[in-house]
Amino acid sequence: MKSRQTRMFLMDLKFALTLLRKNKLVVSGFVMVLFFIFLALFGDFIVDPNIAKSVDYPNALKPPSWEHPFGTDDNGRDIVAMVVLAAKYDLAIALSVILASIGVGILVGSVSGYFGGIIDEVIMRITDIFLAFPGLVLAMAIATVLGRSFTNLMLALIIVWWSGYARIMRGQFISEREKPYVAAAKILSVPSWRIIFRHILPNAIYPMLVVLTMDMGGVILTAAGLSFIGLGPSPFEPEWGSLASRGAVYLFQAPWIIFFPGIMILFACLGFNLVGDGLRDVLDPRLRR
Amino acid sequence: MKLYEYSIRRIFLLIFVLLGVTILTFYLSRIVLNPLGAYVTERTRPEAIPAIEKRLGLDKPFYIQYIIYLQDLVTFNWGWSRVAHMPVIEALFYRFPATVELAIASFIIIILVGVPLGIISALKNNSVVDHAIRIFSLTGISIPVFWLALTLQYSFSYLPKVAGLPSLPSNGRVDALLYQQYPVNRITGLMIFDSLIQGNFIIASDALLHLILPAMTLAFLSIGAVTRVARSSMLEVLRQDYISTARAYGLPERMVIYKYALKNAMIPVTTLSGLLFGGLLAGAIITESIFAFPGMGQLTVFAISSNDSYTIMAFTVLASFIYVLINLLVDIVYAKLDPRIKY
Repeated sequence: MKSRQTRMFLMDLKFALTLLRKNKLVVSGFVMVLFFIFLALFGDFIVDPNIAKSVDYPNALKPPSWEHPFGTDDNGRDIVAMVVLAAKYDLAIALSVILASIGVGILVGSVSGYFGGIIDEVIMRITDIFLAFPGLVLAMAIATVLGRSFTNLMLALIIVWWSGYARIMRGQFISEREKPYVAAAKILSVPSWRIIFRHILPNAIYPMLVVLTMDMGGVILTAAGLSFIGLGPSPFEPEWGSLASRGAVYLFQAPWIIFFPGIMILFACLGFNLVGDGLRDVLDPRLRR
Repeated sequence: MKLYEYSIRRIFLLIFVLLGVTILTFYLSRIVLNPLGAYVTERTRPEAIPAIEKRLGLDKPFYIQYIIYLQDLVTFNWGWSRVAHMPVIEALFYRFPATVELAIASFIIIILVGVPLGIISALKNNSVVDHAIRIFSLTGISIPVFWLALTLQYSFSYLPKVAGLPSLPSNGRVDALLYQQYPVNRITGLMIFDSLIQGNFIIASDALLHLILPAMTLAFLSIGAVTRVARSSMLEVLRQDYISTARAYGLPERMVIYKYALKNAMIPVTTLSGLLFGGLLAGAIITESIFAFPGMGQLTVFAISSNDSYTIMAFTVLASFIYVLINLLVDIVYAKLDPRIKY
């Protein structure tokens, strides 16, 4: 029985992969994402990580040249090196914010959707408060209380991000909980937590894959925006948004400082969005043709 | 449940959500930010501070402070804005119309570009055109706002100016010198509208020019979302039986698409565009501050960078209120448009 299920799953996977491979947009998105993952993993070996903390004023604000293909910033740091080093930070932000938010979203949404009634009502109203509250102000409050740093930026993003997932997961749980397999599990007196996590969750999380992939880009963008208005990490922790925000000051003098970090953000997000968009086509059979 | 019962229930719940928001803002304005900040400067004598605290009610217990806070909120006594040098409510009164004007301008661009692109994309499904439109719309949702704004500013305002070509204005709402020459009386606060009904076409066209770059920036970010939704709902509708029936009757393809398919395909687009408009109203914070556009978003950025608690909290309450209200309206309109939806 099990081997047949595994075989079915493998066949499904193979079919999905074939469909994905045929889609040129997905392949190019996937290549972009792999490129950024490579930079994040091996960036410290490609360029010297100490560049981020160095200061070289004689070489400041130099336009792109053979020596510095993307030019240098106001501290005389090579921008190629800076954007390579920043890849690690930005992908780390995106991944940890998404994982933590979906974790909270699953916990809150599953309890709310599975039990329903008054519990659901109370939890969902609290979620609504967080959805309605402007994320920027929450992020600012956190930056004021805890100080401006890399970890606090992530914390702020998680606090802003979880509520959307909680709402989607609740919807998923509500539609799953009426299905026969849940009733069967209940009759067999399987404990609630086991029904939630072992039986419903795998079915409920499947449609979330698309949202999660595309939100990787969304988190990078939001983090960059928050850094830009000064709620991000210090300039010595390279992050694309904070690099670009330094460049905004020198826009007319040295436009390359803002241009290249911005391009990196654009391509990283585009990569995730292309993959997510393709995944949607494959996962949703109605859109296949 | 009938629609109006549902609406009443929703409005009832909305009050709870808004109360929750005020608890959060109260907490933030009392504990995180110092409410005294707006009234105390370096020249205030230390012995005067207790009197100010007493006047603001800060010497009372927290729950009484919260009740006073709610009272002030309902009576529009929203405190003093340090960055605007006037009461917060007045500052909002002057700045909100600017935000509305910008929101309307970008909304028009979003709909005029986004919807046709989505429909073309659906009709030419899986062709080169479709792929190009998809990449365009995905680029829109992948681009950092500030980067787009500054790039547009650089290439349409700074570069042409340096080269001596005609350039687009890159900041403000209207040319200040021109405005002094041809002043406009404030009626609604929407500058283009006000100047048009007063027959002041010079200011109207100048204000329109000032809107182009910020509106384009905001629009490009959201066109993608509209295009994607329009595309997928159009694809979905085209697969319905009633479309096949219409085709089987031998109706011309144009009529099938524009008369029968489009109507139903636009329902999800309506929902989305309502939410988008709400988002635009609640503040194009980064765009406004880059283009020095004197709206609510710019004020908020000023307030954040100088910890001006009353202004920040006023923005928060207003933005949350717009968010819940728009959500409610969208849900009700959705139910009206699609009679199959039951509550």
